[in-house]
Amino acid sequence: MIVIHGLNEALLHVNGEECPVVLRPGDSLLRVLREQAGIMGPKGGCENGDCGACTVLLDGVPVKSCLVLAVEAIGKKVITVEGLKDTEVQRAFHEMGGFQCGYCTAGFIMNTYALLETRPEADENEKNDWLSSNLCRCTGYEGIQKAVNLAQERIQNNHPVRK
Amino acid sequence: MIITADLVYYKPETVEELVQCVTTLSEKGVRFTYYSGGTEIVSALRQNKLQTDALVDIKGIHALTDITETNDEWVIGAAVPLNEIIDQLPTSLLAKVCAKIADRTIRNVLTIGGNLCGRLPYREAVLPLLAMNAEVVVLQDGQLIKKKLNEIFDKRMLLTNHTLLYQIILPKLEIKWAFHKRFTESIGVDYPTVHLVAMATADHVTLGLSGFASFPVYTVMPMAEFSLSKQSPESLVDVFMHQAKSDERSSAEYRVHLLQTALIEMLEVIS
Repeated sequence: MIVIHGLNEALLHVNGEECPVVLRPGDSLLRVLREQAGIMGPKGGCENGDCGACTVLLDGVPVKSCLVLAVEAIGKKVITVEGLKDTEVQRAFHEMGGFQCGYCTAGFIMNTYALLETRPEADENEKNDWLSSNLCRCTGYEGIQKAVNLAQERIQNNHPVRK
Repeated sequence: MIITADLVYYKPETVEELVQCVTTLSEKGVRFTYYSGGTEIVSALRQNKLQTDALVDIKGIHALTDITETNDEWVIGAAVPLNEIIDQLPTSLLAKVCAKIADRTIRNVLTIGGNLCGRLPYREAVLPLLAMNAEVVVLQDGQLIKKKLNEIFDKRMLLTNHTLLYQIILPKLEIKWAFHKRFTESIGVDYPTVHLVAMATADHVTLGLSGFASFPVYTVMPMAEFSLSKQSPESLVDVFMHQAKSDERSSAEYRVHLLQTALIEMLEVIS
């Protein structure tokens, strides 16, 4: 049985690297990534699971890191937006202007990446279902939609999700 | 906002470890909370709305995180995330109802047990389970006990202190028809103002509502009685009307109107 109390040294596997952190059982993964591991891609927005700006992949599955305890990530692979450099999804968001202020962008990119990895043939309903987990307060949804469609088109034309 | 409580985190990996863990905590008078998806608990801890000394994470026990199938039933662990139910039982009414709860990213962690046992009043997943006459297995005083869900659900799960919802047993019923209609205040990702879930077997029809009253409400009527009611949606509305609530999302009158709209659509679809 795993028992964790007080301050603990732990290793988190983030973007392919081992990150030493110090965490308490009550620390959210978001806080530990930003404040301990120095990974600033996931953003703290609502910190209530509503906005999706803090989305990361935990063993390949998108989660809102503000609602996940850091202790749950021990032994799992965490991917943040920093780990998606040079991917088709990143390029598509850049080329199509899939952002305005940019605060929500990391969350949208994480979810888009996970969607196109698992469902490259996703139809509009599936895309809406996945991406309705993320909010853009600038309402830049049109650019985001175009970016998702461009990334999907390239991936369907045999481009791998990751370059 | 950070979680200020100084918690101890336990993650047992067998039922025996779990029983030993919670027995010891109980004997020591330690306040503990079963933890799985965490979506409600983490928010509650952050807002100091939950006072607990320890979290007992139940995701280390396979029986709680697996879905298994026999000839007659599905056995769903209480710590199974909603998206796994949607993926593994895609044609079931349970999956269709679960697909409307929260958003997709949240459903990657939000568990069926959490939806049924949480503090939020909606508990939408209970409606198809009641309609399908599901059973549950609970871990109570170190024993696994099977019960009918409808015997331990009245407005909420009636579980005594420290009793854990362990598994849900979903029988493979022959369904004549099923229907669900969900209204929210504006956008789809929101709590329901009215969520009607209805299902018919050869013998009876179950109508259930979430968001309409302050807790999930449902009625089971023999097929013959329902066939008479089919002539008039108003008579079906009357079954629930006295329980309609008013809150900041909607007035009771509007909820009744939504229910009537959903019932008319249901009657059209099933005819």
